[in-house]
Parts: sequence; structure tokens; C-alpha cells
Amino acid sequence: MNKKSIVIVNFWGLGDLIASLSFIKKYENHVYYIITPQNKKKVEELIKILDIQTIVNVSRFEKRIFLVIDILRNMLQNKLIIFTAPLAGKSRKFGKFLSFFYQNAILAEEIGNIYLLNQKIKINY
Amino acid sequence: MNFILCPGSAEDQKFKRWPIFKFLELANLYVANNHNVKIVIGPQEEYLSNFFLRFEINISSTFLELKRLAQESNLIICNDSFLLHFFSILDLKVLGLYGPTDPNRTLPTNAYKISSNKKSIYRPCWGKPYYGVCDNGRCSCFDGLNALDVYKKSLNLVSRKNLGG
Repeated sequence: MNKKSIVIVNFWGLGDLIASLSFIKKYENHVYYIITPQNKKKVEELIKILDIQTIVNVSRFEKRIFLVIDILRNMLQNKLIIFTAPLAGKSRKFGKFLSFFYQNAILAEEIGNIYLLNQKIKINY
Repeated sequence: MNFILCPGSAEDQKFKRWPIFKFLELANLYVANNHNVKIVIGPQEEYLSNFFLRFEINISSTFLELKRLAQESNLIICNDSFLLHFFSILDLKVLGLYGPTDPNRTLPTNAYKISSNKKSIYRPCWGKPYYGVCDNGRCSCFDGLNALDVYKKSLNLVSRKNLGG
């Protein structure tokens, strides 16, 4: 198992986060760190119930500004950062902006089913 | 048959909820036809329980409690909400009620959907400037989707072994 964690970014609601967790469930041979505005304890409980068989850590921050700082911190460690679907509106603009400067980022496509869009993401890590 | 109804959704997007009186009508249809109904309500939606006093209601259950409860059901009926995604990823049989949001965008790949057959120039209004207030300040995307439509679709789904689409 690759010990360097992959950073999953999802700025949307708890329901939308499940589309990101379904992506993690598909690639359980990696270690993950999730950046989400959702409550850390709640997300950890969700991960447990979904029986995800890998290490998944969750950001302790909920405010957007701290989440952005958390992303920047992970960029400095040269981690792979995946902006999973749904990725629209301001969060898409933000992801695009960051990926302009940072090569080690993957952005999910915008148009289409969020589950299928996440399935299309390929990890070469 | 055992049905679970989830009439809530995020408080800041109440327009994503199929009207509560239609959920109540649907629940009564199941009972009148000798089916079992349970209601699942989230922590911010407790006031909705007043509509379902005759029924078994589960409020603010933990994820584990929800999982156990749902595993005993034949079909779970939800708005486009957290519970739709949660029950679907657990590989349970789920029917999503779609109004203002777009099932082509958010429907879990193993879930089923129903929306109104009534023609609308607004539906789905998601992603448009008038999202949630599409029809003169009111969201009309659920108009025309009746309890009987959902009842018939649900019975059709539970009676089929291999479901698709």
C-alpha cells in the first residue's frame, strides 16, 4: 500500500460526499485524507459504516478558509490532490485556479453523473 | 412489504422535498393496502414527525441504526437528499423522488427515480439562476407527481427481481 496519502477534496454536502467515498471504496489500495466542510466525527462514522477497508483521515476543519489552508499545506507536501465530483461553481473555479499552479492535481469533470464522473478518475500514483 | 419513507432534506433547500402531505397520502396508501411503513426523519427535521403521528417514526438515528432499519425494508423512498445517497451506497433498494434537481447528475447508479410526467419549462431548475424559485418565486418542479404515481412505481419495483433503470 502506498503510504503517502491522496488528498480528496469535496466542498459539498454530506450526500455529495458519498460520491467521493464511493471513489475511495473503489481504490482501497491507497491511503486517503479527506478535506470537507462536513463534521469530522460524522464523516468518520460514515466511513466506518460503509466498511471502507483502508486508512482514511478527515480534515478537522469546517470553515472554508481553513480548508483552503489545509489544501495549500498538502500542496507543499507534494501530495496528489483530487477534486472529486460534484465539482461545479465556485469550487470548480477554485480547483482550476490551483491546478494552474500545481501539477499534482486532478479535477473531476463537471458535466454528467457524479458517481460516473468519479469512476472516470484514474490514479497513477 | 416493508417501506421506509424519508420526507426530509437539508433545511436550507426545502424545495427539494416532495410535499409532506403527499408523503402522508403515500404512507396511508401503504397502510390501507396492508403494507408496513416506517418514517425516517433527520435531526433538523423533527417537526415533520407531527404529520406522521399514526406511524412508526425514527428520528435522528445513527448511521448504524439507519443501516439496520433499512436492511429490513423492501424499498426506501427518499427525496434527493443525504439518505438517498447513504442507502444507495449500502446497496439497498432506493427510489429517489426528483423535482428541482437533475437525476442525470446526482442519481446513484444503483438507485431508481421518479419525477413528474407533467410537462414543465422549469424542471429541473438546478443550476439555473432561479433554482428553487423557478415558477414566480415558487419551485413547481414536483407539481404533477402524485402519491398514487409513487405508490404504483414502488410496488412495481419491489415485485421485480432484476431491476434496471
